[in-house]
Amino acid sequence: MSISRRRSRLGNGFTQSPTAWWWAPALFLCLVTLFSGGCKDTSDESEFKEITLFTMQLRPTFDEYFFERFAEFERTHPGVKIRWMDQPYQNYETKLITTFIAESAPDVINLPNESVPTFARAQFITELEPLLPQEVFDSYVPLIIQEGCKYQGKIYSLPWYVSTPVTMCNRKVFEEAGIDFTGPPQYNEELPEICRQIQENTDKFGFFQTYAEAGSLATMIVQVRVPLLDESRTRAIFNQPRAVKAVEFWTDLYRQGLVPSECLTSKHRRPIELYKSGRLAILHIAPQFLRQVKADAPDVYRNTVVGPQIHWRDHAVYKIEMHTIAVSRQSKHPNLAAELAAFLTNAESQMKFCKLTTILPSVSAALKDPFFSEPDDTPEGQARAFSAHQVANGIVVLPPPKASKVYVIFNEITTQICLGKLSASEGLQLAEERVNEILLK
Amino acid sequence: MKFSSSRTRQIALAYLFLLPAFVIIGLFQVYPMIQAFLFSFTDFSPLNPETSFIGLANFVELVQDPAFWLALKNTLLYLIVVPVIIVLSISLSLLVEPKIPFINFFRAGYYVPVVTMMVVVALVWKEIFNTDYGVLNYVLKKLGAIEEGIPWLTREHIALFTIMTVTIWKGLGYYMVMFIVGLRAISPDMLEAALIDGASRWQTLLHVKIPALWPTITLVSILSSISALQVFEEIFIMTSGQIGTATLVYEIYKKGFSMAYGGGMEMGYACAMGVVLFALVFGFSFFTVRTMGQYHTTGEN
Repeated sequence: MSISRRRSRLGNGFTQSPTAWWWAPALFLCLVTLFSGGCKDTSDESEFKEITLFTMQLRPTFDEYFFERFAEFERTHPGVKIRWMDQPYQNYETKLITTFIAESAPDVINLPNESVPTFARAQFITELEPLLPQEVFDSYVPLIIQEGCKYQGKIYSLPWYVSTPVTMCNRKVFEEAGIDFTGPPQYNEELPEICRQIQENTDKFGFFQTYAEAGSLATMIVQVRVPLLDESRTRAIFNQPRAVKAVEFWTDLYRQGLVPSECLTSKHRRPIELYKSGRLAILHIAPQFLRQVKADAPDVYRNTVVGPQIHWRDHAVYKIEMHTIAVSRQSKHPNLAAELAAFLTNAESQMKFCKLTTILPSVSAALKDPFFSEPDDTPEGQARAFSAHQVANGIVVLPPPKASKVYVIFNEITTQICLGKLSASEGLQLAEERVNEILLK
Repeated sequence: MKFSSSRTRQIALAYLFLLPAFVIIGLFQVYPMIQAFLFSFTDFSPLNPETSFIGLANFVELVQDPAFWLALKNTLLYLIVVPVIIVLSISLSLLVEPKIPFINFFRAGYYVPVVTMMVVVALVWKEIFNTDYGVLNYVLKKLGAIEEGIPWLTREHIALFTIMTVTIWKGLGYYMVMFIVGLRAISPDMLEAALIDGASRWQTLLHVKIPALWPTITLVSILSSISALQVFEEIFIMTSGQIGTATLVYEIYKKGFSMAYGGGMEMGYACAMGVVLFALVFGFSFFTVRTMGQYHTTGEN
């Protein structure tokens, strides 16, 4: 009884105390201050013009290169300061979109070419032709800028570094399986037998075909020179015998158990992990990943032999993967931002960048450099040469309209074929019908 | 009735202290919920330069979308974890409740998965369940139980149940602690009375402990069913929603936030799914409280 009375007195005393009334607003103000701490007003006109650059997964590996380039740009553009933000690959585009919604988008943006139409359609990035002289656009490999940087006939980004996949083989796994290794396989047709032998004689796998990636089915189709859509890009036309045969081939690998079971649920990171752990014989990948193999799995790297991308006997089609640089529509200094984009993608900058890792330049002049055509003995040098040679026969695959819905259908159908619920021809017929329904809506 | 001025001041001060919480909850929970509800009637997407009101079109599309029905079916199927988790965590709490030497070691051991991040748990279990390299298939093969590896995570009808075991394993310790607290709250007099009356251990459990634990069971049912209806990380990490394992929250993520499938970011559509999920969670919690709460009252009588 006495305790409760004392508590009550304490409570009343507290509320009657004048200082008590300050506590709650003070706490609230503290919270407000805490939350507003991050919202710095950037609208101040300072003596510097700040240009922000947003890139994908390049720090800290290439810090030295970029800071040298920034210093050079700042030297030729007095009063300009470059601020560099780098984000990992995971959810890169989503993070970028968030900055646009918050109206705090960076000025200069590194975009994979598949995202260019999406960002242009959303009016996030600006058309570059009014901002830069024609000779800038003329300096790039025509196929790359024409196919990979345009939206509705207008150039929205500048090509940056490109690559085509190469083949990495772990010679040790081949030898363990009793296969006389004379070099990486050249043709897809050789894969089933190699996989079978490796699986029968070792506890490892020959190849990892990803079926869970958004573009897996599309890649299978375009690699046999079958287009996904007609020229007007309004109708799906991929249900053709060559495409059916190709899809049948790749899904048969799964049905026959020649590739890991998890191919159905894992994405492109998984084969890299398996290759680095020595459990996969053949890796089909962009050459810049060789650097990762060298750093993370030196033993596997020592046994790695690089070859050109494995292709069909009668269809050597190489998918060009490319990064581009675009300029934000929200930029307060669009001309400067475009100049920085052109500077980072010019022959000199690209050449310097390419010497640091196994990537290729998109500038015609740089691509002719003997550095790319005359390989040294290292796996990196060979990968670079194979990749450069393949660019000549390369294709740039554009995402179809309403890609999010089309890819979901592709993904479902591929799974159904792999699980044996549909044959390849039934699957492609159904996929074509469903995609056309979506495109017509 | 008239409040004294000190009482009024006390109430006013209490609300003043609650103000920061109101503001934060309002700003970060209530406002987004209302906004999401409104978005569900629009074609809102950060990738759409303009947003327009489209009425019930998103809900009509939902009804026609097989992916939504599959996700809804999987979400409801996931509720299987609720009774399993209740039975297992009650059993576990009965095992670790007695005060015997080293029992704290076991209690802590069962609680470790709760404090481990779901991403880590899911990654580890993904490796364990790997058809070709997984420890589980390796052990089963060595024991001669199987000849071919079981496709735990790569076959429809198996994968979702495999993922459920991870959810159960991870949540068990949390609910076990709740049941231990419930068991400790049972009056020793009741247990003693049951003993004097000659009740067996089984009868004591069924007629004394379980009825006394009923409020805890109700609470655990609500909490675990809300968690089950919102399952995401396990699916995202272990199967990427492939081979028919997508649940509602996974579909919301895929449609509204992911760029992995060509940049949909159809937030309006995702919000419509969110509204359905909200109705489901709300309806289920309401149903649980009404039915189990009523049962509890009857039990007391």
